[in-house]
Amino acid sequence: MMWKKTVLLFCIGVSSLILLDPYAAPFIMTSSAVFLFFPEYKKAQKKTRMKKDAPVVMYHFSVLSTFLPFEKTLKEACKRKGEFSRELAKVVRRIERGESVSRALEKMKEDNPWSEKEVRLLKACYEKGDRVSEVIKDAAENALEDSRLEGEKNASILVEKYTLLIASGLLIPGLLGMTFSTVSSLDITGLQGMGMGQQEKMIMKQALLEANQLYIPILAVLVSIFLAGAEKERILVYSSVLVPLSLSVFRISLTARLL
Amino acid sequence: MISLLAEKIKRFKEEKALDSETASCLLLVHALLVSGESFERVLESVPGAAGERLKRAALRIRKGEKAHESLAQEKNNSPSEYFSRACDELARTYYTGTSENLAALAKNISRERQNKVKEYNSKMIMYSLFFVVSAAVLPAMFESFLIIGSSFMDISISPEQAFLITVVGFPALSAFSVLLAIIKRPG
Repeated sequence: MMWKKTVLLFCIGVSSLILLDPYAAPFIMTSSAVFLFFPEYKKAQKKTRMKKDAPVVMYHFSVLSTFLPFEKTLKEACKRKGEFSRELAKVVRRIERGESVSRALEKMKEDNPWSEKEVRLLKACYEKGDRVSEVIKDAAENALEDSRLEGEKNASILVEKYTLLIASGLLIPGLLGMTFSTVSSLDITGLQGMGMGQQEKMIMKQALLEANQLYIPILAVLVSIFLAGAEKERILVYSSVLVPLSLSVFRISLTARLL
Repeated sequence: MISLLAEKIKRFKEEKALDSETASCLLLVHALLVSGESFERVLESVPGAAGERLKRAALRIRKGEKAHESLAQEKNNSPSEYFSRACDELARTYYTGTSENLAALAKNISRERQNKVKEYNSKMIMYSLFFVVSAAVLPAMFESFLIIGSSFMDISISPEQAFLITVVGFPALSAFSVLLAIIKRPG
């Protein structure tokens, strides 16, 4: 599904660059990307929120499980706000409908494969009672520490991602375009010495302009590869937005002159 | 050459995955051992990249291999320092029967990872700066130098060479700067 949407976005990008005004391409691409990938984004956000909520709920659960029976503890734990509590509420409903605790927890694992560790801990607690609640508390504390750590790490990755996005989409093409147009328009005929002739200089300028027009998309694709990381289908998504955007910024900035 | 590179990338990814999972896996193992499950069964029920390796070790133990030898084999094949330490502690747990040492190691690993993340965050600005300089400032300076400098200096760079430097050299430098940031990122 993701691949189909990615290919569709790529086709929209290519056709908008060919058929429409190149300056309009980035806007068409960005709005198409938002429209196509918003559901995936929401799903990923839900998973992140659940992962963030899980340690708090597990900690709460471990404290309650020392003096409450399992089902009652589960009911209390799912009264908290958050995505993970909502998943636990589903487990409670399944148990109330007559499913076994183990089966209801297994279904939760099937719906959210990442929650395998939490489900294993809950099952151990159900099977062995409060014997493991102290250990679950330790695990929850560690998971809280880990999620804080993940938050810190994600913040730096976010800085890295935005630096790459802004640099390759706006900063680099803008800077290169403006530098090229400014330097090319300088009147330096008075400095003529042992340098190139007019003809050779024109060839050099042309070569550099063509190199820039190739360098900017290459850089955009390169940045897309790094931004996508393990999710390879996202390379096309990022490229579809970054390549037209950077080329448009470069063309616009070629018309600007600093001096 | 490509297969060697692919192998290195695979090991690098596995190292990062193991680094981030080891502490929570140790606590899960501790919890399950306290709940009374058998050592082999516990190793088999750990999820993730660490779980894959522990499952292999458990399988060998079930086949009759000694626990410390089986875990040492996984330890020697592991690209992660944390996972290697975890294997040693797991072997100790198998013979002593107490799993408190696993919880202590998990806490130590968490603390070490925290320090690594802090260190990386402080270096982040340097990596970003390196990328912007290699991808934007250097190419702009190079082009300015070629266009202005070629008017009054004898520059030995031909238009073809300038083209190649811009299209191959600068992207390679930018890729290197981003790769550096990714390699140094803690797991």
